[in-house]
Amino acid sequence: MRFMRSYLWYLIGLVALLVLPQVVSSPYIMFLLNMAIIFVILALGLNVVFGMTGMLNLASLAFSGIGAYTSGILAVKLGLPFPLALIGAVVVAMLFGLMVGLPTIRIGGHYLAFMTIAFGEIMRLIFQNWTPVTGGALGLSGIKYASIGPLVLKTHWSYYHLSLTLLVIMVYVANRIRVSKLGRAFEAVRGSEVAARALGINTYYHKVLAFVLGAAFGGVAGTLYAFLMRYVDPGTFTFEESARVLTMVMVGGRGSIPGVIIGAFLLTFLPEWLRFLKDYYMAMYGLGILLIVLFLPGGVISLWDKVRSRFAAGRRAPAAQTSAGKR
Amino acid sequence: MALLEVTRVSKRFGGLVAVNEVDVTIEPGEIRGLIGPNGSGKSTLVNLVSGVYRTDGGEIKLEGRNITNLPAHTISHLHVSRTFQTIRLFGTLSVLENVMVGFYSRSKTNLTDVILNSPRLAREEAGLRKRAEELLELVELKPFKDQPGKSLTLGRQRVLEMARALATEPKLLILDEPAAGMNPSEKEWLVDVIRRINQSGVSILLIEHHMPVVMALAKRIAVMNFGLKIADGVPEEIRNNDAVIEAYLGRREDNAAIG
Amino acid sequence: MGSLVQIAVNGLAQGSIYALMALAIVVIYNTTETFNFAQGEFVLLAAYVSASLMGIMPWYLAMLVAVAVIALFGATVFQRVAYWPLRNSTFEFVIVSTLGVSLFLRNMAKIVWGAIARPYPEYFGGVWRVAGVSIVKQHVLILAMTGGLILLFYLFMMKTTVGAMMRATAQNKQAATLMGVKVSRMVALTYFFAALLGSVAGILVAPIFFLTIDMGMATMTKGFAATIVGGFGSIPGAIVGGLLLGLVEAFATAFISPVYKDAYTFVTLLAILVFLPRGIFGERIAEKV
Repeated sequence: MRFMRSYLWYLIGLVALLVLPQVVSSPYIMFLLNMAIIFVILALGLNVVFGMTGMLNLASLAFSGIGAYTSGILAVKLGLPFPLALIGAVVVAMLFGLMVGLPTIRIGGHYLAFMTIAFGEIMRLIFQNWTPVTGGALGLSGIKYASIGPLVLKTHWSYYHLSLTLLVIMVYVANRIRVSKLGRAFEAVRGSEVAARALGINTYYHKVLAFVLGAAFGGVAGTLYAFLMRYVDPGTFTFEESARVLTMVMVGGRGSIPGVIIGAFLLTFLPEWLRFLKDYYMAMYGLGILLIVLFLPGGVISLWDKVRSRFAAGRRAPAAQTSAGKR
Repeated sequence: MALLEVTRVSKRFGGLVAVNEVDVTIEPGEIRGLIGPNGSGKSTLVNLVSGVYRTDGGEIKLEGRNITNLPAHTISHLHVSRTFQTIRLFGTLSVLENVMVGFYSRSKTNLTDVILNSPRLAREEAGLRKRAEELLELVELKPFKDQPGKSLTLGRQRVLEMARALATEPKLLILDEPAAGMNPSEKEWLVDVIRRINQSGVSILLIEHHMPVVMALAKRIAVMNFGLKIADGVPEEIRNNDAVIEAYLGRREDNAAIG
Repeated sequence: MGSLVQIAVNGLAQGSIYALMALAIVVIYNTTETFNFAQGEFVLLAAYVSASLMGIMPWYLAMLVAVAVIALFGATVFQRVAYWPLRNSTFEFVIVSTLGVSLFLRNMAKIVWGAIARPYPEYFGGVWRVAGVSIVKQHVLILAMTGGLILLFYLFMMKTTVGAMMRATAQNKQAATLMGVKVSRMVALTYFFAALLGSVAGILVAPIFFLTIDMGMATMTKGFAATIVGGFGSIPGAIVGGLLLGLVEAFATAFISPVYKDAYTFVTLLAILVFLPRGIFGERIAEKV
């Protein structure tokens, strides 16, 4: 029954996202909705690596960059259509995930965060300087409109349906990971590596696997971004943007998939909602992040949990007092 | 044949010899006690047997098979499981999920099954869920199955660690100070639970501080002090052993001097 | 030969700035086991505040006041807001809170001083010619100030009781508390140092670059790189790593090409990660059992 209820919420969210384009008339808002979906996918990827497995990856954008450039190059230079470019991007991103994941076997916690900063910077510099392949500082241009068979997606509205389809798939995958034995193994690694190993979990393998799976999300997000912009700019894939994805995960609620979705949407649209503050809007956005971390450490989703547990406490009070043993 | 045979095992940390050529055997089906003052090397020995640390000498055999210095997860696959002195529950998982983590190595499904939610996986999950509930029933924690693991009282958290370890289907279960931080009634409950686990066919190595708990459960007790095994025998022998009394009384005097 | 000396001085001066940032990162990490992602904002604020103050007071006084104000800000308001409430949370909470503060400070600076890059008043300009080698005065000042600051920091940590307390806190917080060290004061002191190091880096580096809103972030990223090169959590490592990065940049810029200036840092970083994964002075880190 609990599952039914959580699927119900996903269904409500999906219906809302399907209705939204009917009422939105501004291409800019449509563009932001597409961007929000891309950020949700990125945040879901980080949630696998960081939220579930506990490894702080500060290079999310490096993986989406790899995805964006791979699909962009496949589309521009080989003329591949969107679906094939997408598959190529995901495969290449996963290979990079493997490459970054392997050294994590030897490195713990905080140092890993440092290493990923270094990886992100190295990738950014490769994007910027490997001109024959990536187009260098000028970026990669000439990506055609995404098309699925005969269907050519020329507007932000039509593209949105593609984004949304991929979003549904990625949320489904993220959810499968979370509720399955794999998610439990990841959470075990996060809780205590020593205990996880004592229970027969090969923690090395799972840490690398988390990176590879997380990278796949980056590959999808990057491909969506490349075809949305139809241009890949090396200035996009910075440490600051990676930090923003981390902020989305933390503000939404680390480890919780609905939380991460809310966090990504919230932080994509919050600056727009704060526009009335004129010059102050970005400063207030920073302040908002600080306040959420200080006063809602479980993220926005924890508000919902609080409400629900208050209801549950009211109903289940006698059961909670059942003692554990016949003493 | 002995279930576990530890022969002349040593471990050094820098200049400190934490475990010094210790021999311990555990027979199938028994509850084996291991006691000693703080810092005597008990936990280090546990960490050597369970593969957390590498040995600096000696041999560890499980049913005649050499398991010295195997990785911790491999030792777990060979049906040796353990709990921890400092509780290491998976804080983000529910009580039931904590136990289900222990089934991991027995699972026969792969990544594709997980992503596609295959009927095979659904069947397996349902079976494991049922088995996890049975284990929780055994340790009397079933009423709490959907709560977060860390919301339990300290005593129950320790017992949950035992249920989690049981999920790996151990032949040998190592309990590292399970009574630490428990109140008297919880300790009584603990003795009850450990006895029941043992009766279900699991051999137990019990590392403990609280004498009444060890004396009530173990038929044979080994005593360590300063990394050495100083005594080994039935409870009566241990109670009257001069070296043991000295080790414990000496410690008590120290404590009196400090506090 | 003369030009080699020139390049070396140039590189060491630039490297000193990285070393200051790396040192601040390490000092904070050792006491609080987390990072301060607003470290770059100390650089930015010190540069802008001192530039503004130079309109109403002599340059040396303006700098002194700016550094003092930023250091006190770091030790009080900043750490009380961004770190102290989260001291018992895991380290990523502080990362996000400091990121939030960083965004706030940077964008407030943008409102106060404008988004357009502008030159910093030249306070110590000119060149010395020694035996046919021309040496930029500002570089000498940077080296002297950084050297002095690091020496003072070293003496403080090694020779004073409070320094010993700080080292004890870095080693083992619980034991330090039991010995009567007040952790809240150690944290304040740590952030005082971090802000001091950052703001000194700010006033020293500002004349070399233009004042921009992103100068803090850029400097901090290099500081992180220096920390990785030197070895995670190591104080000598931070200094050596910073200087090494500065030298690599200076020599590669001179002999290969100035186009890829940033890339050299990260080639060095890559080499270190491959060959010395724990950095030059790194230690092994493992989960305690």
